[in-house]
Amino acid sequence: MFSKVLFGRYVPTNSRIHQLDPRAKLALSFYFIIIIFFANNWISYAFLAVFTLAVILGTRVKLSFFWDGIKPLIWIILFTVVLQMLFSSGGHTYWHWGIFTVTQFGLINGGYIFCRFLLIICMSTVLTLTTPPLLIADAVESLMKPLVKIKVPVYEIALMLSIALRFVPTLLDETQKIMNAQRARGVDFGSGSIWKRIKSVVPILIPLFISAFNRADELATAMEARGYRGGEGRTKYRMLKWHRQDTLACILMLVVTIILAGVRHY
Amino acid sequence: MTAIIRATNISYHYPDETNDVIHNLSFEIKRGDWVAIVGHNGSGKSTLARAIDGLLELDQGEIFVNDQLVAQENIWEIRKQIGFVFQNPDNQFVGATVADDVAFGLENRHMPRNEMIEKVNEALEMVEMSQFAEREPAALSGGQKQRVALAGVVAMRPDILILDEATSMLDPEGRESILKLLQQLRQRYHLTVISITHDIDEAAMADEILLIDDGRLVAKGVPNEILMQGDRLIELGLDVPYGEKIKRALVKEDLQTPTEYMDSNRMVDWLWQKLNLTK
Amino acid sequence: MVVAEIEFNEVGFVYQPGTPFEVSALRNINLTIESNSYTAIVGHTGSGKSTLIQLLDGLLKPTSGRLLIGQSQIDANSTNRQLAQLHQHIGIVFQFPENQLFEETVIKDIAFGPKNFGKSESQARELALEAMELVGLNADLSERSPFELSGGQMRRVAIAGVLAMQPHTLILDEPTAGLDPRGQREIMELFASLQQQQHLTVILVTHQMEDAAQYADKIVVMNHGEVVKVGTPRDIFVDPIWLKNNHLMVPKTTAFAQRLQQRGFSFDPFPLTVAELAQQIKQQLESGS
Repeated sequence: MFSKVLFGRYVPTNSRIHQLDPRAKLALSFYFIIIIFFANNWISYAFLAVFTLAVILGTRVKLSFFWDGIKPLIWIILFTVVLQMLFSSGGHTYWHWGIFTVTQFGLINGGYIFCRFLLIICMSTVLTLTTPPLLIADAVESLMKPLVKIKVPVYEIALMLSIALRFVPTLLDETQKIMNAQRARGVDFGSGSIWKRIKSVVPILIPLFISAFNRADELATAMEARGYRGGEGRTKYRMLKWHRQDTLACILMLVVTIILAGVRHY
Repeated sequence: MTAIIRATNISYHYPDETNDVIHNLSFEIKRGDWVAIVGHNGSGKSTLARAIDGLLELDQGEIFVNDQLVAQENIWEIRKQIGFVFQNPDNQFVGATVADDVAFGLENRHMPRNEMIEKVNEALEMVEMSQFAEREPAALSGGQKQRVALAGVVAMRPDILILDEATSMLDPEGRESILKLLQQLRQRYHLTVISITHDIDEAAMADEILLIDDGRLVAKGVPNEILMQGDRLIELGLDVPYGEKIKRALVKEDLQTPTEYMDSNRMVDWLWQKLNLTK
Repeated sequence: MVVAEIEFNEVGFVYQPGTPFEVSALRNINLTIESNSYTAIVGHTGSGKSTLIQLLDGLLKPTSGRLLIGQSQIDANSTNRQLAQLHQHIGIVFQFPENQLFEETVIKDIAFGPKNFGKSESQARELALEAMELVGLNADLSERSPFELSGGQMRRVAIAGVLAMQPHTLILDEPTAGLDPRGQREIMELFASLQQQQHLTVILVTHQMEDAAQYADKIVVMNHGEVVKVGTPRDIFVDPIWLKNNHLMVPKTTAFAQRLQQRGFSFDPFPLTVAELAQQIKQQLESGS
């Protein structure tokens, strides 16, 4: 099931959104998530939804594929929304049973929360869909740079993040191999009681930890052999470049904000 | 003084073990030589390589690299002169892309960005990986990752290249191409090469072979001398070079064969002459 | 023990079908593997070998076509239960199998498989001890932690863990990778004797053409997700140009015999091992032909 989840995966369709500076994309995604919370009526949500849809289309990833990729997450949202609806009060009461009540305000709020979550998930999926993890790490480093002044070890954090991202596919691959080996030895991951399922994780986790520690040890030795002595004074090979299109994207977001402010009072 | 590396009476044991991994070893390596350090798994040969690069602290003895004692004070100076390629291609790939990985060592040296780009491009060209510059490691084969590791070394311009079983995890195609590349790099950059290996064909490429067993130096000499000692090689858990393998099979068939070392080429020539004599 | 024959019938496999990540790994595979045979599967990295062996062990199921393994048929609609049954009868030694070890003691790790397949504690222990003997591990090691052992010994523990399930078919994925020459020789001899004495069907995936030539009685060549040739080692290795076109290394003995042929020797049948080569050389030198 999780192989279908799109969040966190990069799909190189090379659209205009792919070509934007990762700093612009990261900052604007955050900004968008914040302004979602300023939407206060159906028109403002509809406006933001249309904008999000336009961005999704702009990634040139097939819409059906995108939808399949976020569908598994929608169930999680629906679950929280239903809980929210059952425990809220205000307005006309439609249904009441024990501690559960479904009210008019509860329904409306639930609907808003659903929209908010959906928009947030769509936009962050767009970010990871169009930006390789490496560039996201670079953007984080670049945006965090001012923190060096207050002694935050930004370079070390960035290197850690970059190494961690670089080893994600390696370790996923390793996990798959170990799982295959243990399945071949009769471990059944998919069935049995909860206790049995938890127990079946042990034969994966132990080899995985051992392998990860070995890798970390070898990597540390290799880094030392290549002269790594900490982040201080290290120069940087990769440099991000800000283009006109990035400024344009920022202006576009400003326009979205203004329109949103307008429709809020509708 | 032509020795680029000198080791005198070095010993080392791992903190939680009693036996020495390397025991009272002494040897010299000549500048510009290709030296193979050969032994079975667990014979101590990898530990020896790490000792040369100052990656572990010896119990006893001294190692000199370019006449400098390998010690805590000048460890970074020593490491500048040595490029190291390890066995597992995955576990030495630090960068998120090929170009980033090649640049890693240069970044550690605080090299200005413009100079760095030049060095990275040149190194990638040398190992024929330029078109892969922006690829992530997951998209590369083992052989390609080792090429990147070599580019990272070349970019640093060391005098010495240590290969710690650098080809042992590769498929035969990958191994062959890396060995070919090593010959080119060695010529071009006048490298002294120390290759730690149990592959006897790789050892045959060397100017000198050090045979290691149980942490001790058991033989030392030019390949011709070492590689003709088939029984001894097998006893040490190693293989016999192919030409010698044929010689041994012919001896079993009661054929008279020359006593000196025969590689495949010489064996073909010799058999051809022999065939012509019988005609 | 019921020994099964394996048959691939128009088998195909596609990873992540219906997504932009879709990759077709295998196409139109038709293949029969007889019981108690020794088959080598060769092909360059990415030719589909590893997908093929995962299908064989029920770790994946075909997206098209069907597999017949003994009495059971596996196709796209097979249930997990059906697939799980395969695991017991088909043992698979993955590349670097020591990476799957996890128990506190050697004996517990080896007994892990049999226990999963419903053997009692004491039966599993019994099977584990037998498997240790088969792979040449001293019984003294049984209470040691597998992580204290040498690389070669760890590999034997992992192999014993597969043998303890008493499979009728053993799949080996590059079983000698990373071992030194002595370790390689010993492990390959071990599998050859298992095939002959325990009557196992052995399927070897390898890059080492010398091993394929020496041990296998049938070789399957894969390229781009298809089986391009099936034959005896002699059939396969007689044509070095064809081998190169399919990204395969030419075995040393083949290459050497070929060079001698250019210098006036002639070989019939074409030698596969150094011993065969030496015999034929001797004959020709003595007869002076």
